[in-house]
Amino acid sequence: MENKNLVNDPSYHPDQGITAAEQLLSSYKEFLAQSTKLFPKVDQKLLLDIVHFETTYKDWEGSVLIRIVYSSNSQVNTEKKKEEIYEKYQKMPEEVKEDRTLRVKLIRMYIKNLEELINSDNDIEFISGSATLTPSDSYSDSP
Amino acid sequence: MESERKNRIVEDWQSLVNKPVYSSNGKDIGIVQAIQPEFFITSFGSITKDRYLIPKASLQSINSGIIYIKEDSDFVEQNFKFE
Repeated sequence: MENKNLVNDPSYHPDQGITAAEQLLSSYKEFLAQSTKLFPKVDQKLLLDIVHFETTYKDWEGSVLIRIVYSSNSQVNTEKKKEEIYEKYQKMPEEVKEDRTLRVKLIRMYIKNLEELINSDNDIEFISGSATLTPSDSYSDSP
Repeated sequence: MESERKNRIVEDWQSLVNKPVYSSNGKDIGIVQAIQPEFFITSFGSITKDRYLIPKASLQSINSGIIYIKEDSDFVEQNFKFE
């Protein structure tokens, strides 16, 4: 049985034999590909969680726990990086892996802020972590 | 160029998730956890996991479902470990 909503969609052509499910999956794959292209340095799950919370809950405070991984090829001064992050967000990161990874819990880290963070520091190689619905002081997180 | 060649060899990187990864000297680097545009992430250990950010260009071969990378375990520890 054809999906009524899909049938009402002017871009839908029954002759092509594309079901609503197939079209939805195809659109989702395109969305994932686009997110990867736009934010190549961000873990996709973190990115999608932020997008989900930001678009679903208008009063979401942008609570995230992020791990900032710096390039192992460049001689990064993580103490200086800690100070830079503190100046910017008033939160002091902790060092997870010497000379490489900082972990920090932040609020008001929306997609545009994530983009700004990445664009502001070319030494950042990768950002992973998790977004939470409510702010927490705890540093325990799932991978 | 090299990474483009690897991308051609591995048409579906997502299919590598949950596959084991070994260094060139035969050390276990963990299991592929996630695929990123330029890297794949492996995790090793059960409780306090070590995590490695491995460039896709490091992939050497895939044999019987096991992924082998070009670098040895010392190099991996020094350059790819991020947590």
